[in-house]
Amino acid sequence: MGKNYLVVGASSGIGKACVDKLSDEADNIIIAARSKDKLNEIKEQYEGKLNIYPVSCDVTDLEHINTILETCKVKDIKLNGMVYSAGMDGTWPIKVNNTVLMQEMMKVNCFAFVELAKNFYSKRFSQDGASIVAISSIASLTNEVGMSSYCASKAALNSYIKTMAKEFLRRRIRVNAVLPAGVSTPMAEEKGKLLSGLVPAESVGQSKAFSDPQPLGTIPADIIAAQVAFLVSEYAGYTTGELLTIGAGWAY
Amino acid sequence: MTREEKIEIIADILEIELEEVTEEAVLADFDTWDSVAVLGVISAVSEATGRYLHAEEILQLSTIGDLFRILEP
Repeated sequence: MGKNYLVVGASSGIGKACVDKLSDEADNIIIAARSKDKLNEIKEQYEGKLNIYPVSCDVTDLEHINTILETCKVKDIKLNGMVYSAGMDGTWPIKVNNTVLMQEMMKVNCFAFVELAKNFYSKRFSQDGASIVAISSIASLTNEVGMSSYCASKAALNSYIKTMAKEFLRRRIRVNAVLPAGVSTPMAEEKGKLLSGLVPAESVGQSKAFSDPQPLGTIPADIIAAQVAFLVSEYAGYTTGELLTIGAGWAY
Repeated sequence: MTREEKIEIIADILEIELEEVTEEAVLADFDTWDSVAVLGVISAVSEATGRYLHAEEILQLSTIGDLFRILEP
């Protein structure tokens, strides 16, 4: 109990699972996402257990993204941790890529995080020793076909994480990322639908066990949330600038 | 810019609490008054006033009161 957190991208998937995991030890959680309705549903779910403060926002609006942190001022709380789980997916081979798409991807998956983290570092919003965790992706290391912009945005995110970790040492603010392989989330399901039919399941005649890039199977979102909770906690008090891959057996 | 906004900017630059922002506090007494802080002042002043100060000018400042003054348009 007693902890204050911010979860961005909290309305579904990994972000929502993180709210659930962090709720055990939290007094206050600010949840941010686009959908006001989904946020309010989550708020209701925790009614009477802890304070949930929903902030509806579009993270691509970089000029106004820090309104999320204004909630700290209004409610007079200082954060122990921030989880950045807002993410945008997209399978666009280079041939059909375009500049608008590239910029959106960079904004959602990377720049919005950097802008928020910059302000999180202010003593007005965070406690000394606070922890920042971003959800990156194993694809930032494996560079999957058709996902150049996605992979690049997550690789850029990884790079920011490592520099930021060094710059934030003075306040003992730790900055880490989790890099999952395929996770069961609404975003991944959408992508699965799109790709099925395009890619043969067992293209080279190998048995599934050998051809499956992720032999341990799709990762449940709450498993990722547990790793996030670890990185947020004091148990990871000496861990910063790390990119924690959760690959489910993926060879990379 | 309101005085409250200036207090927030100065608190962020020096990595201190809002209550610690007092006119008479001596900049050299803060271990956070370093090259990054100087860059922070350059950035804040250019945003607030459009003036671009040189590091040498900022290093002449001695108190938080001086920071309030250079943030004036």
